[in-house]
Amino acid sequence: MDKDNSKAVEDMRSLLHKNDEVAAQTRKWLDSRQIFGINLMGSPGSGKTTLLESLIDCYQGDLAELAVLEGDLETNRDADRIAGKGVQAEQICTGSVCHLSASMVAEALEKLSLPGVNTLFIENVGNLVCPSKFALGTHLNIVAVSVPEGDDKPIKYPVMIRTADIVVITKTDLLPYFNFNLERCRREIQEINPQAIILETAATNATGIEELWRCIGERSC
Amino acid sequence: MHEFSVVSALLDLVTEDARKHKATGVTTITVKVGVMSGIEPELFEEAFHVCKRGTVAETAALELIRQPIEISCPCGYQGGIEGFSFRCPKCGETTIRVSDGEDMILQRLELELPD
Repeated sequence: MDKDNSKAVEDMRSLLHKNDEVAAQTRKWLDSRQIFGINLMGSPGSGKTTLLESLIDCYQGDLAELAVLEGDLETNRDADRIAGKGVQAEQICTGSVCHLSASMVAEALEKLSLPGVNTLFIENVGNLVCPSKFALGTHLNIVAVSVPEGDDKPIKYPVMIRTADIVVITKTDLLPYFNFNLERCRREIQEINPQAIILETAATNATGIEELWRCIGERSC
Repeated sequence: MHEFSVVSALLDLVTEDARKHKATGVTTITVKVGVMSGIEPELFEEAFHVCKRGTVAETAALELIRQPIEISCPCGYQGGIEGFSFRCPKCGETTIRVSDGEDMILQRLELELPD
């Protein structure tokens, strides 16, 4: 029994309830336009933007079918890089916030011209921790882990690996120069997230990019 | 360091609950934090004490309950896992359901009501 002037209340909502609600609205909105949304995450310098550039270079369709949202604390540099490839891109500058949120994405989507677009990439703020729990309304999570970061990153950042549908080990052309145990890295990713697809890419010579497009295509059907 | 975002979301929920029950204050907030929720309890507490100022939860105590991963397996196993290995420790199956330990939940609030 509560004391006269106090009351216990059970709530049981997720702390991310509000973000999840906005993300669910975005998902519906994308679905209604038949746009497949992809949330690309990874550390700063893991090669996310370069991976996007390489995906654009290898795209078989009309570039007007693609759109990109770029998340960074500061500067429009990444959106400029994507626009330089002929794909429409909008920059989200988060200021001091270390991850994108569903509302930031919802707001930025209004600035894109989406008729004709069938695939939307959202490059999250470079960070292997914070973006993992903030749903954006996308359909697929890709996590980039690069060879120079070291093979221990997946096991050190398991929460991020858990959110991945596809883990891309990037910069594999640098394997001869780093003490990176590919087999152990793959094994540890599999332990943390047995359902994740693991791919290897080297954007400089487009290794693995077609396979990545194929995996994206299979998921978007 | 996304703990500030999460704490501010927590305070929004708490404020909403307090308003709904016409509370004048909040004495205790109990949050279940999964070990794989991506939240660092110490940082979360620090952020809470900074952000609660000026809100209805200004004098509230924060109680964090650490929730380990729990899975259920088609083989009937229910319970924890070994380390970060997301497979059934009994039969090795990987198509398991994670039933707890990945979320952050506002479990309970102790509200002060007007006399």
